Amino acid sequence: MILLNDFMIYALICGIAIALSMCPIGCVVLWKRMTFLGDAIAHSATLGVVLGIILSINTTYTVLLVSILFVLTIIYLKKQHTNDTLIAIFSHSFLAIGLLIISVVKYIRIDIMSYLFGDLLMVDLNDIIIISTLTIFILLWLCFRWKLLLSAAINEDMAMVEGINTKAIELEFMLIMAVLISLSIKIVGILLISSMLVIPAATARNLSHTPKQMMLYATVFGVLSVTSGMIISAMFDTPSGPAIVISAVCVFAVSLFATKYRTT
Amino acid sequence: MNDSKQPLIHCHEISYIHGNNKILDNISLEVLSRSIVTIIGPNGGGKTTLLKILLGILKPSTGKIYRKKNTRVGYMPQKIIFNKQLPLTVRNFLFLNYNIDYSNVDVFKIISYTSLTNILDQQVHDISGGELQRLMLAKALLHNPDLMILDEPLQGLDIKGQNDFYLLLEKIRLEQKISMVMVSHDLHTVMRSTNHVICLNKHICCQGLPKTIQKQSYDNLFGLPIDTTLAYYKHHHEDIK
Repeated sequence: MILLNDFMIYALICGIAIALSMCPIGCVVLWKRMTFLGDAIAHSATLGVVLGIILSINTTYTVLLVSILFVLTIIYLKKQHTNDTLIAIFSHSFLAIGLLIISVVKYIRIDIMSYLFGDLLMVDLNDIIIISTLTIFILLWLCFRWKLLLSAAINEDMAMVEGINTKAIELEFMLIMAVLISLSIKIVGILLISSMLVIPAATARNLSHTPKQMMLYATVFGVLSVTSGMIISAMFDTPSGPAIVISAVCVFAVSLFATKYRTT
Repeated sequence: MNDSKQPLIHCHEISYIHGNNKILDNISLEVLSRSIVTIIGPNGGGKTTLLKILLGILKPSTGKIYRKKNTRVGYMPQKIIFNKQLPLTVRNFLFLNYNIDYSNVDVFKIISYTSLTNILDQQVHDISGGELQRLMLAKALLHNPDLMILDEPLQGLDIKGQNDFYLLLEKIRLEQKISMVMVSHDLHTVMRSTNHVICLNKHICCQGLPKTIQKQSYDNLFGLPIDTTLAYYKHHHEDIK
C-alpha cells in the first residue's frame, strides 16, 4: 500500500511533530494578537535563504540567524510603534532585500512552490530528530511558563504588578517562534506555517471555553488535518501542503457549523 | 504593624517625560497606612501614569519613589479589554494568579463578597460592566493586599452601581485594613472616607481633605470657564450613602 512507503511515514511523523508544536504556539499567537507574526518571520526568512546560498553556508543556519535578528529588531523597536506596523515594515523589507539580491545575483534559483509549501515528502531521519526535539522542548516550555504566558496575554500591566517579567516572556516566545519557523520552513513552507499556526487555533476557539481546552483542541485538529491531508495527497497524488491546508479549512468550517447548532 | 507610621509609598518630586511631553511634573505624595488617597483630574492629566509609577510598571524620569518593604499590592486597572480569541471563564481568570499563597486568602469569602458565585463559569467576555468591575476587585483582593490601587473603579457603573461598589470597598477596607489609592475624574463621587484628595493636572494643583478642595480650584483644574454650562448641585462629594 502506498501509505506505507518509508517517505510517507517519515513525512507523516514529521508533519504530526510540527503540528504538535505549531498548534499550541498558534493559540498563543492568537491570544497575543500576533496573527501576522508567523507570516512575517517566514517572509524575512527569504533573506536568510539567499544569504545562505551566496555565502555557501547551510541555509538552515542563515535562516535561523535572520529570523532571530528579525524578532530582536521588532522587540527592540516596539516602544515607539505598535507591533503590527513594525512587523509589516520589517518583514517586507527583509523580503525585498532578499528578492533584490536574487535578481542581481544570477546563479540563485529559488523554487517558489517549495518556498510556499515546502517539501514534506523529502524529509529524512535527521529532520525528524530535529523537529521532534524542538517539539518536546516547546511543549515543556509551554508547561513551565503557562501561568506567566497566560497572565501576560490577558493584561500586561496586571501581570507586571504580579511580579511577572513580561518582557522576558515575550522575548522567549518570539525567539521560540523564530526557531520553530526557521527550522520548519524547509519542510512545510510559508503557507503551511501560517495556516498551521492560525487555522487549528481558530477552529479550537469556536469550540472551547478555557485556554487549556483551546490548546488541546487546536493540537488535535492540527494532527487531524496533517494526517487527512497526507492521506488525500497520497490517494490523489497531489502536493501534500495544499491538501493539509484544505483539510484544516474544512475542519474549521465544520466547527463553525457546530457552534451555530449549539447556540441555537 | 508596629511601624504603621511609615508610609506605604512615598514619592519625592517625581516627573515623567514621554517623548517631548512632560506628563507629570514634580509630584510628591505619601500613602499612609490605612488611608485613602483619591486622585482627581481631567483626562490626560497624568492620573493613570502616576498610578503606573506607584505600581512600578513605569519608572519616573526624575525623582525618587520609596516603597515600604513587603507591601502587597492589589491593582484594578482602568478598563480591561479581554481578547475574544482567548476563551476564559471568570473562574480561570480569578485563579490564574501567579505568586499567590492561597492558604492566606479566603477565596470563597472574596467571591461571595463580590457576588461572583453565580457567574464563575461564564466567559469573561459575556459578563456585564458591573460584574466586570467586581471581578477585577476580587482579583485584586486575592493578593491579600495592604494597598489597593484602583484606576477609575466606577466607570461604566450607574449611580446605584457606584454606590454599591463604594459600600463594598468601604466594607472590605475596614475589615482588612487596606490602604487605597484611587483615581476618579469626578470630585462628586469621591468616597466619603477619603483622607486626602489630590487634584492632578500634570502637576498637583491642590490637595487636602475633600472639604477643602473648593469648587473654584476644581473648575480651574478642568479649565472650565466661570460661566460654565454645568450646574453644580452644591458640593456633594461627601454624599455617597
